[in-house]
Amino acid sequence: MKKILIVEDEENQRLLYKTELEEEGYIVYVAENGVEGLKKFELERPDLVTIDIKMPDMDGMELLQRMREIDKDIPIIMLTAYGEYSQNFTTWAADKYIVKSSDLTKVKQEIRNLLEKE
Amino acid sequence: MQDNPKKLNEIPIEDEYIYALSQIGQIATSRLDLNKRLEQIVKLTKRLLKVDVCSIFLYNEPTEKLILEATDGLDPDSITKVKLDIGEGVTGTCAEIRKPLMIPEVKKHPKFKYFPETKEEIFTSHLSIPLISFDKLIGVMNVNTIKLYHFTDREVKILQTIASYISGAISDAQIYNRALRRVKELSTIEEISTALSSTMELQQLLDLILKISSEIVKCEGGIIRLLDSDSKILIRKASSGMPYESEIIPDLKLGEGIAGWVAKEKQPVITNDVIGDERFIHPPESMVKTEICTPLLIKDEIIGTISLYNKLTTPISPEGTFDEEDLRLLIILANKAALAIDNAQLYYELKSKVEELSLLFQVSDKLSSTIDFEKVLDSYLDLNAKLLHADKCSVKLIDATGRMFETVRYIGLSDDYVKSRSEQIKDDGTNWVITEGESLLLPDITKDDRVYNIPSMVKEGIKSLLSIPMKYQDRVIGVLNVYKSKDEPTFTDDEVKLLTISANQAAISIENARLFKDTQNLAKINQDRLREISILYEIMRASSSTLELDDVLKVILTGLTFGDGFGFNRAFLLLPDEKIEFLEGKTAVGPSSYEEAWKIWQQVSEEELSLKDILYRKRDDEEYLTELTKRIKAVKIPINGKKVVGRTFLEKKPFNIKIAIKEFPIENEIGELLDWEDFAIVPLLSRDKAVGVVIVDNHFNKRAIAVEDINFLVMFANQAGLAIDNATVHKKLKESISSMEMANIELQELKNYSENIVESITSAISVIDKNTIISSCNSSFESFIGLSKKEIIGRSLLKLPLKIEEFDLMGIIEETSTKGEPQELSKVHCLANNKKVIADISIYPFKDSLKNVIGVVLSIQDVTDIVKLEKRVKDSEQLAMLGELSAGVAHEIRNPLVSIGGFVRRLQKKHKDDETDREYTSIIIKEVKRLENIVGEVLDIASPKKLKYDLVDLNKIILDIMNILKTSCRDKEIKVEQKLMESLPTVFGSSSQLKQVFFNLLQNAIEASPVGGIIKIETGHRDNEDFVMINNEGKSIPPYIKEKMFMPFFTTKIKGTGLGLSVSSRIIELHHGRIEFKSTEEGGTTFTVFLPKSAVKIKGL
Repeated sequence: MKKILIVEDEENQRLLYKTELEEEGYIVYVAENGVEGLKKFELERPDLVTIDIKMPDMDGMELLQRMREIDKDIPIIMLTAYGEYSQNFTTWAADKYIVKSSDLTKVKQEIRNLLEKE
Repeated sequence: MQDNPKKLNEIPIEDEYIYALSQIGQIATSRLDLNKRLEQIVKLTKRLLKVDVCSIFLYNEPTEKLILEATDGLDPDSITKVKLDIGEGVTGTCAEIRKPLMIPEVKKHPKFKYFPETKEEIFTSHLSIPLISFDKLIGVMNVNTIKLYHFTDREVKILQTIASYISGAISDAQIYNRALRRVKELSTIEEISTALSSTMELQQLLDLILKISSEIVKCEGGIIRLLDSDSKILIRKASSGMPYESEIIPDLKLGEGIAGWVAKEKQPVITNDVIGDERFIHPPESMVKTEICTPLLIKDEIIGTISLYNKLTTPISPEGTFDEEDLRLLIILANKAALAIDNAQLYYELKSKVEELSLLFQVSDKLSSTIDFEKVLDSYLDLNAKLLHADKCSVKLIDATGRMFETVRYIGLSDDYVKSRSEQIKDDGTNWVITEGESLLLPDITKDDRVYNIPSMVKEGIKSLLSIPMKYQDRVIGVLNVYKSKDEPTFTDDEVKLLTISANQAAISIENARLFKDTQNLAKINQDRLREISILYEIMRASSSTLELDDVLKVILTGLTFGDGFGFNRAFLLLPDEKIEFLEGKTAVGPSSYEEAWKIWQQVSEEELSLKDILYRKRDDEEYLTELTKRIKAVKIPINGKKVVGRTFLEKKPFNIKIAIKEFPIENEIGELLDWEDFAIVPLLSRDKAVGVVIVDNHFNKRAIAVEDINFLVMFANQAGLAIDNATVHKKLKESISSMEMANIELQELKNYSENIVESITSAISVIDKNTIISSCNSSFESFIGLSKKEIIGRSLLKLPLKIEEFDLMGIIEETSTKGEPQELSKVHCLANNKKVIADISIYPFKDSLKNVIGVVLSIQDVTDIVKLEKRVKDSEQLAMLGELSAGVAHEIRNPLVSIGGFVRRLQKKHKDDETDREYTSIIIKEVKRLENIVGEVLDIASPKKLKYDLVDLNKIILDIMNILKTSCRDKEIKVEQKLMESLPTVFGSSSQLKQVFFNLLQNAIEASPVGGIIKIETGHRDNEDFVMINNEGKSIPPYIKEKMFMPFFTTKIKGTGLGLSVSSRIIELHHGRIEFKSTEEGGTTFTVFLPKSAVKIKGL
């Protein structure tokens, strides 16, 4: 069973993603900020990570970089409500960059793709 | 004969004839070989008379034929082949009648005979002159012309004169007769002896002695024998009157035969019947009947004998007897003859010694032959002493200054005397002789004040002195001295003469030899210098053609190793590091093995490459980085005086290591590198400062390094040092220039910026007096008003095209000038030069030095642009606020929408069976979607500055990047081959992003390249795409890396983010393009970026 770590500061969305993805048959870990996310990343060694860019304290970009330093092979999807970050080179270090939508079909599809590639 | 083109009738200048005749006369009587004389005479005669042929026939008595002996004009092959009888042909007829024969048309002459071998058929006029001497026919001389010509009397006479010269020259008998006549004329024996002593050729002298003796004593023949001092045998040296005797008369031992007896007993003998004399041993065939024989004595020493004979059948002397008177005459003659013979012998030896001297001077090197030279001088002195029967002699050669002796040799003088001599020319009579250039003969030295150092000479027992200057072309180059003691007879005139000849001959030899040597030296020096200079020139020219340090270094080393240059086998160059603590190997030139050396030398000789070719050869080909260079680059040695290379650098002195190796150990690294003990180290100097060292050796051909090589190397090193220094300075200069260029660009930007500011503030300033008349203004005011200063100044402000809305400008000006307080108006709308302008206006009181207000300064600042700018800023601030708001909105609205929409979808799934629930949830989902779309659109609009997309020139990007990466390439000695398609169309994209891509790719290529590798860059287009291909020769990329290459943070480098390739691929993706790559062992690694040719839309996000 593949493990997915979701780093998201919005509680409702954490719940949404967790529920939806568990239904898809993944083991889902959640973290509500960058620090917690990093801790769980090291502890759980997930097969995939989704990160919300805009978070208090450590933002998604920094977290992305930290995670890559630890293990650059784990696929990471950046999720954001705001497309502007797509032009920041740093976000390109992520495997995917997805603008959030209430329709999770796309996210699920990308997760499947990335995990299959492994 | 007006039709004669030669104008032979013209009378030549008298002098010319005289000169030509005297020349012919000289030739006729010269000592040249007869044939040569005749040859020259016919040539000169032909030229003198302007005829076409001149020939000489000689009469051969035994065959009674005229034989062609010389010609100028006839076929030279016919010489000696044409033979005529007397009376045969025209020439024979001339000989017969013994008169000149002039025939204008010789072919019509009845006697004419044609000799085909002469090829004389072309000649028309003929003149023959008989050669007659003492009524005897000698031969015939002919001249001919091609054209018809009548010889004048004058020409006949001239030819007769020439003929008489020839006759005289040819007639041996005549010469003989003349000599005899001269002997007869000598009335006294003394005169004879003078004649004898003037003849220095021994054989000539002996012949002469015999002739004179025969004449005086009246006999038929005679023999002179000389005693060989080693074998004690009397050897026949000359004989006369009895030619057949030469074969049958033997050489005699002392005591053998009459001459042997005479020699042994030193007594003369007269015998009038040799047959009855038991001492006589001539064979009967000699027919000798009477003999008179006397010894030749020098200081009572026998040197030979003279014998005179009459034969059994003698018609001259009927009695054939010798008497006492004959003997007396012969003894006197013998005494003189002995002296002359001795002198001649000495002279002969002297001559050979002098020749030896010249030879010695010419062939031998001064250094090694000084001793030999002195030896020769000593034996020369010895001979002179013998010649003068003295035992003390000296020769003193003066040096170039004329004040010092260069070489002084003595014989017969004591060591004390020799040691006491000074080097100065003030010695014995030398000073006077040198100054005057005359001989000095002093019978008594003590009575003459021209002599120096008399006491020491007296101490040596010297009484008389003969000093002869050794002259060469009126210049005294030395002095020959002969000293005699009081016991010896003083010098005779003959002795003075003899010594003068000797001295002058020696002078000529020595001087010629010196001259020869000087010339030789000079030539050698010139040659060497020329070679040096031309090499230096080539090298310096080549090194000045480039100021790139690496190129200069290579040129220098090439100059050292190339055959036309120094021809060293290998050259290494080391330069100090920045702190001058270490010397670091920089570069080397030369083969790394014997095989390579052989190959290179063969190549150079086959291609006949000159130094120039090599120097100007493309400098960055593969020879650049040889094995040797790699090895020298690893060398780093401390600069200290302990070992030889460091020491060379410190002391700035060259070392030739064959000599110094024991004294100074060599740095291990250098020793290992060279693997050869014979080499030279030379410091490279620039302005007296060491800038490096060069090591050269001949490892492969083992040629020893000569002193001259080192000298030249030093000279070269100075030049090379300068070149290196220049290049280093140049390098620094270049660096500072580039940093200055940077600074300059910044400055330029700053300047532009401030100019922009000035432009945008455009304060128009004018000074106005109390009567509103403008007294001065600035150029901004000019342009603001639209009039020139000339038009403005002196006019009233009221009359200018300037109107201010809302304000009464004149009133304000008046107020300011009365109150003396400044006023400011902000953003006033005015009409200046018919343009609507917004301006800030300031009015200041204008005061004189006494602080009286004399007017106002009006400053108008056009703030139209600023106002506009302000508005734009305000707008953009609003936009930025909107942007920020959008982000906030996004978060605040989109996030909840995600939650709402997300969970509704879940609800829908749960209640999918309930029709009503599904309908309601679908509505919510649809509405959420609508909201999300609206939010997305709003955010798109509010999204701040988008990346600038434009038309991009890919070639320019590549060139810009390569410019940045140039240094890295040079450091790794990477060669870049660019093949950029000139007509490559521009692509639509982000210049900065694409730069980022190609920078990444090229930097990777350089890092992956091996040292000295090649990077190929190619641009072009294929189908609908433009492409940029970058290839390097690096190792192929293993498959496991290939897969991950484009992943972010993936890197094989120690330093690096691992973002390069992933970012690049994302950028290209964004440009609707793609990156392909291929990596094989043979082809290296190639990245190709494809971009769509047509303008692309930005990939929406």
